Amino acid sequence: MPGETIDLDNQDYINIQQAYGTFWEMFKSSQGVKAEGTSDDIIVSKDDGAIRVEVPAFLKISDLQYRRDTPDDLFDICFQPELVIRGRECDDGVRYEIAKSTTRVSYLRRLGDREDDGRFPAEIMQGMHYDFESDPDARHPIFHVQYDSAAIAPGVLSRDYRITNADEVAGEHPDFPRIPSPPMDFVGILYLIIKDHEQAENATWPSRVLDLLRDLPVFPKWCFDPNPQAGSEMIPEWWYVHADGGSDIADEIIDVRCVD
Amino acid sequence: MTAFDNRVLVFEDRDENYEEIREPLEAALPDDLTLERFDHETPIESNVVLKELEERVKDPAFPLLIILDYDLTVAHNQVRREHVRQLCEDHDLPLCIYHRIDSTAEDRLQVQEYEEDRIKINPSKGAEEVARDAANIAKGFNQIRHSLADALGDESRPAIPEILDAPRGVRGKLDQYAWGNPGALMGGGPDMDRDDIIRRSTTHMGYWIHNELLEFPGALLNPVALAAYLDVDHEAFCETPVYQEPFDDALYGGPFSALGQWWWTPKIDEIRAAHMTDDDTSMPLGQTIFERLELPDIGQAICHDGESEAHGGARYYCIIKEKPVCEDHSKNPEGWIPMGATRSRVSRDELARLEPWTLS
Repeated sequence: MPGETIDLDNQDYINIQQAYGTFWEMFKSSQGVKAEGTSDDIIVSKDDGAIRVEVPAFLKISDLQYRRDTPDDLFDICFQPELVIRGRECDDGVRYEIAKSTTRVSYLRRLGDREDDGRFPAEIMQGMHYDFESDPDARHPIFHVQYDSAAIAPGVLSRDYRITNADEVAGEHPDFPRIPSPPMDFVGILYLIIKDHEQAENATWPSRVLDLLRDLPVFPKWCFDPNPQAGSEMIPEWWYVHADGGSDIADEIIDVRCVD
Repeated sequence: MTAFDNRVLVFEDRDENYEEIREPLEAALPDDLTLERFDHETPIESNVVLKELEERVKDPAFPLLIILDYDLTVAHNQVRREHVRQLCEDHDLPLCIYHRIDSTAEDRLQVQEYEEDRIKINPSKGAEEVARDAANIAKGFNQIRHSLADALGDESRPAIPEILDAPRGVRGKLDQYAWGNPGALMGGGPDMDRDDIIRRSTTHMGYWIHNELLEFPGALLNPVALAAYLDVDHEAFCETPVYQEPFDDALYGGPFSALGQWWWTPKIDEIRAAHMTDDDTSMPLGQTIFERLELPDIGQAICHDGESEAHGGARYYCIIKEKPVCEDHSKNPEGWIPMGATRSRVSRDELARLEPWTLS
């Protein structure tokens, strides 16, 4: 049985703020890809016994190759995580659980070099947001993704980009389908980017961020009742087991990501 | 052979200048370090200066720190500052440069010019202050070499956070500051022995700590940068110790900490977070946190960008003006500021003066 929900205090606030800040800064300095945005962009606030984590602007992974054979054809992935973290009693004191998560993602193809105003001309190629709610509408998959070209508003992206197709993406879009998806929070989306875009065959978490994952909030175990995943965290890394060439996900990832 | 011996070796060609710094420097050095002056009287043939200099400096190990007078023009032998610099570069020896007390304005500009592979002492200081700073720089290198000797070969102990006694929350930023210093911080080539590695790492880590970590606010905050970060008037904060005391738990105590005051940013956040009320959604700032710390009233941080009207919200530090600036009236121009130095910026008016093409 899960423990009781408990209100998070000031110490929890600073623990969560520093956990996400350190994770992002370490990720930035350890990846082969170019990551932009600082821990100061991650805004943490208290919210009625919970902690809210959000990035009002966006973080990004930039200078990715659109195709492997066209090195000058570049695109950037901007993402905007938003989480509500609750506390749950456990043997060690408190476990930080994600009660709500929305991760907005925009893929932008760069159309030229930086212009005089410091921005890149770019078009939005793809966009989506990943949702998780611990108490979702009955008809919604508990984890789902919805395509949305304006997932991050063009006005927000305009800080770094001159968006050439803003009118095209600004129109009304249906909020369906809600496609069942792996859990994609702040951590999950970075793992997806590593897997999609890092050149190494066995790309995985860099060793220097692995132990930092232990400090980050996790999805509640009870999300995955009933079977087959009952009692285990649903982590996005499960989806890549086959890509790692083994029958199991790496032990060190299970060790830090799945808490008994 | 050891990485260093315990000498602090001074290159000062004028007797009267050396006498001015000798006594305060000897007094400020810890007991395990000794002061020595390089012999400028014995002639050296001009075609073998560097080789001869190396032989005279080694005794048989290299000194822990070389303190160099910027102007060696009256030395009776052929040794000039270029030779001393070359010697330090060739053998990874810590180098600290000071100017004669009667230095010219041109000399001062030269000292202000940023150079990452030496430590410069502000020439506006008097002999006693120069001596005190030099002694503290020697202590810093001494602390680093002992810590490195302990940590080397033990991979379970990451040397940089341990030497700095850095809080866990700052590890990511420290890593980023280290970018652009490939290999030099903890490095050694395959043909280097343990002493060479300790000497090389001590020297480059010392430069990195002094010239990047302490110089560019981000992981650490100097007094002005802390006032800006807390959104309070930096002059009142810097001049009034009572405003600083509640933040003592966040003070940096690592190498070179005696040269000034710096606070760890994550520890400042811990103090701010500890003073959140149930009604707060985020960490208190400005007058609010000072009230909760039961401190006297204090004004708001004001932006010092010369192109804008005086206004508040100046939570960053302009590395040129050394004053608070706001985000809107400052930039982080590419290549100027180390990654990780997230509280450092350059005001728009300084950029307009120095690199107008970077402003749009």
